[in-house]
Amino acid sequence: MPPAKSPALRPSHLPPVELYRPADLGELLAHAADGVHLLAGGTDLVVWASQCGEPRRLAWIGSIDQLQTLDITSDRAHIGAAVTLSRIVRSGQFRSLAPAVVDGAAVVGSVQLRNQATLVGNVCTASPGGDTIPALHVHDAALDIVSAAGDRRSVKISDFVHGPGQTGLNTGEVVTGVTLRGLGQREGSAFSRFTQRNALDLAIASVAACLSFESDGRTVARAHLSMGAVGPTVLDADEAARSLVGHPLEPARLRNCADLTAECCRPITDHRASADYRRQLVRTLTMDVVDAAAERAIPGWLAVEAP
Amino acid sequence: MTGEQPATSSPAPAAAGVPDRARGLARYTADLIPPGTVLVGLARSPYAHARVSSIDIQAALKIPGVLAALTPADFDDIALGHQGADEPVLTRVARYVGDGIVAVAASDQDALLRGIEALHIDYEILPHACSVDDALALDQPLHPAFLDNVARRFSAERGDWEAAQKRVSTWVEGTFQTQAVPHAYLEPRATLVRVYDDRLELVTGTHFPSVLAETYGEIVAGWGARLEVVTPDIGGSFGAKWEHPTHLVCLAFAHRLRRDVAMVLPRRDDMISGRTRVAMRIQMRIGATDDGELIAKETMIWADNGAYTGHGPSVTLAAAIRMDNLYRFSALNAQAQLIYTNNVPSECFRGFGSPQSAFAQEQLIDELAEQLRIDPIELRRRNAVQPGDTTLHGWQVGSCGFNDCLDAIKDRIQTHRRENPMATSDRYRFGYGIAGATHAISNRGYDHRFDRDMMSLAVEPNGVLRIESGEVEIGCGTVDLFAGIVADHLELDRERIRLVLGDTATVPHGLGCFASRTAFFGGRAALDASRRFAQLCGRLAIDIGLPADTAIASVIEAAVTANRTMELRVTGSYEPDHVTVPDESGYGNISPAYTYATHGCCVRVDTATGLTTVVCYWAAHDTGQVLNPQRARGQVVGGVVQGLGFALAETTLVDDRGHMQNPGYLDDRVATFADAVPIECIFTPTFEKEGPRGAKTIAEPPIIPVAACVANAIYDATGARQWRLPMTPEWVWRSLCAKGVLAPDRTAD
Ligand SMILES: Cc1cc2nc3c(=O)[nH]c(=O)nc-3n(C[C@H](O)[C@H](O)[C@H](O)COP(=O)(O)OP(=O)(O)OC[C@H]3O[C@@H](n4cnc5c(N)ncnc54)[C@H](O)[C@@H]3O)c2cc1C
Repeated sequence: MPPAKSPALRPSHLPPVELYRPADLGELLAHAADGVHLLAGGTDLVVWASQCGEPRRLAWIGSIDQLQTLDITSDRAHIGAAVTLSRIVRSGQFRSLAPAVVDGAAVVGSVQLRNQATLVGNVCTASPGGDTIPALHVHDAALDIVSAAGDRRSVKISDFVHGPGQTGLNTGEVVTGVTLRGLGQREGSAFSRFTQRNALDLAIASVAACLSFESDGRTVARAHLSMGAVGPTVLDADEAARSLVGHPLEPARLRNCADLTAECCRPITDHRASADYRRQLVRTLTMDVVDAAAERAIPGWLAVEAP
Repeated sequence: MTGEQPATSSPAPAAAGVPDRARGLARYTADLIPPGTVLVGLARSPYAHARVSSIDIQAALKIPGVLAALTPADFDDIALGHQGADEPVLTRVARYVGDGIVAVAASDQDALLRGIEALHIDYEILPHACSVDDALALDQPLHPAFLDNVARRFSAERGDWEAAQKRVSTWVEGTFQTQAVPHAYLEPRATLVRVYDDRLELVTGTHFPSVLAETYGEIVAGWGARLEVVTPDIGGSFGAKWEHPTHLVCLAFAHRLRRDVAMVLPRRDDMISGRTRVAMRIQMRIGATDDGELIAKETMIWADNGAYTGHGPSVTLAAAIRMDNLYRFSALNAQAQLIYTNNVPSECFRGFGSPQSAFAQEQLIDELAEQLRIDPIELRRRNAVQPGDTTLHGWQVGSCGFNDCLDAIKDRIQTHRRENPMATSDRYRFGYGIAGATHAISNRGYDHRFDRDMMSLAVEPNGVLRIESGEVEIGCGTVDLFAGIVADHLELDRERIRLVLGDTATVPHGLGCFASRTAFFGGRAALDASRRFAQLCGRLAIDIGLPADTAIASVIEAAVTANRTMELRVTGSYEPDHVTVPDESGYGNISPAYTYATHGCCVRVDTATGLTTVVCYWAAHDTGQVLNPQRARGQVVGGVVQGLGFALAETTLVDDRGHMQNPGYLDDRVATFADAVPIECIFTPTFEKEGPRGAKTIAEPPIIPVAACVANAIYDATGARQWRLPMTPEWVWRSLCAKGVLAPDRTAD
């Protein structure tokens, strides 16, 4: 086997690319139908292109006004495909609507990276460790998709991502944005990830939680837990979430819930971490984010003393 | 000459080195490559150990744009390596994944990649070893002359071991494992070769242009060519950029094609074929009396040389004995072996072998302190080396402020404890750690001929004073000191001084910018040159009819008017006379002076995740007189942050086929700005009479104690001793589990 053909040893080099800058969605769809690859912030795509030598035909979505919108109403938000993570992090309105998504967006890469990278790009990359994805799960997000023929459909995020790097996007389809549910009364959400470095690192494990309380301010009414980097896709921990519902959030119950998330995740051992360490992190992160979400739902509520 | 490219740093004082870099004005090798330059790439071995059975370059040569290819046959009688010439330029036997087999030159990058892909190379796979134990067990030598795969053995026995042993009442011991880490410089290896008929000019970032010119000069002389080396701005090295096969590949193509050629390694290539810190297993034992007198120390080291020998031998010897010189032991016994493996070749790296051995020694000293119930700072203080000592290894200690460093750290920790009662909980544990360090300045054993620096001063026709030095600006701002020393001594305006560096065609010989030697040796050469220059000015003044004590600036002015500037030219030098070439066991006074340090830190360990957070860090250094406080602080902060990466995060991961799994900064977790911690730098100045204006040097020492210091703090916080680097969260968590330190129970039911 000749060495240079082993992709691991190919020197990384960005080949010359054909770059299109469609001015509207129609033009973009025409390019997509023609097999041109969509370029948002390029923080994933340009890295791949340098490593693999392809794709070499790219259409940049950043000059399409329609995809730049960040629409926020009292109970939902729509994030256009060209909206950067920085814009999301900076929007106070968005933060009160979907704090977990901001938690996720705020830790991606670095300041420079977030100025460039998009939320939709993060979802379309479909990495099991994509930092905005668990939070989008617990906010019941759906992707807004349009086909070359102009047909629109909406796909739940948990149905959209099929596996590492695999999505339910058909050839020629474009994601125009993400729509998510905002927090209601006595409801809070949070996301936390574990990394070894404070910037420019990928999650070894991550957990998002969304929690709402009954009017007594103690009993959990609804709960949604979602875990990243511990399975082929982001996974919902439904049983663990259910175990909280209908009960006050007591320490023993919280610990039990954390044990359930640790049991239901499906981590692998790789050069970043071993499977059992990832389980331990999921356990710890679950306790942390449920705490944080509860604190956001009912400020001043604290199951345990802060560290 | 070098054409339009600056081998010279800018004249303005503030612009030399650091500020230029910060403003993006530095011009690195890759910035100097003009369009149209021939590009060079390598086909690398995908196997850790394999014999190349056949090479076919014909298909590659037919690709449009491919200009030439070189194979191992083109470099048959050349082997690189100062301390063991064993690295082929291109190899017939691949000894690590990434070893270069065939080089291709092409007119553009696409053609180059296609050309490399079109090469046909067949391999016969050989058994490989990616650990020292596997290599010792391998019944196949990686290099024919070393049947047991041991590249070098060292043995150092000092004092009366038998007598000493009898006095020991308490022994502590441990086996420690340190890891290989890449140097993580930002500028990847880059080479440009310019051709002027039979004269080749190698442009590359290196520690030692003069030595490269000497080494490669002999080789290219065999091709009927001459060589000069130019070193432009360097984007970091930390001990990595010495001789490298890519230099000779580029020189050979340039000579053959009669065209300028260049090669800039992509990050991944740079990391798989770059160099790493020498990984070591260190087994150590230290014995003391009941009242805390350190008596005896025994060290065994298995060091991973990697596939080829860089400075591994002197690094291994340094790890075996240097840190011994910190305390007044009665007897020492060190045995070390440097072992060939199929890993990336190792190299020296800031601190030489001392960060490795400090990790072992300074943890064991703490163990002793605990067993003897003596405060760890007090134990060190009682045994600290003192000014005027000659150590068991022959170091003649001049100035020594180790005690002051210890006191300063003791003070900081006490104050911090008092002012910050730690909110230790079941989950979060706080602890304090300290560690000491010592280091040499240069090493008389490095080049057996001499350890010397030279500097020339010459007045240009317009009255500007030109400083010529063979040293380079490696990124510390060191050479800027030269101008400062000259300006101060001669009372000249700093704006009227120009530095010429790193171009072997025009500057005097310089051994190189490494081993924490530049400020000391170059500084002394600057003083010597200044004195000679002042004398010359005195004589010229009388000759012109001015008083002998006329200010130097006025003499220069008069020389300009009288058209006699060409007479104002001197060369100064420094070569210490009380140093000795060490013997094979490392015995000797290798350095004109020695530096000392103590670090302290406070950490918080999350027992649920094993994550160690450094809350506060103090670094006390005896570096003699501080010549430039801001730059000195910069060195300390940089060294500590780099040391934290080494301590907590960085490593090279190799799978069972010998492939590096983390050839990039995503998974080689070099500390980022966001990981920097609050660091207080404390200088406890001594006056070193051998040094320039009482100074010693800073450079390497700040990284040496860091890993040990953090390890001691983790132990203090949790009771789990750290035997292995890096102390990643997962490893610390495992050590806590093994120790039964209960983790995630945050509240009682
Ligand atoms: C240094 C560095 C650090 C990083 N750190 C993190 C991190 O901490 N956490 C994390 O989750 N990720 C991280 N990433 C990955 C990356 O930055 C994120 O995934 C980012 O959100 C991708 O967004 P982008 O706009 O750059 O996507 P792009 O690279 O432009 O696109 C990514 C993929 O999505 C497709 N795509 C983009 N827009 C559309 C659309 N509208 N419709 C259909 N397909 C589309 C593209 O074709 C491509 O396949 C890091 C990357 C780098 C280089």
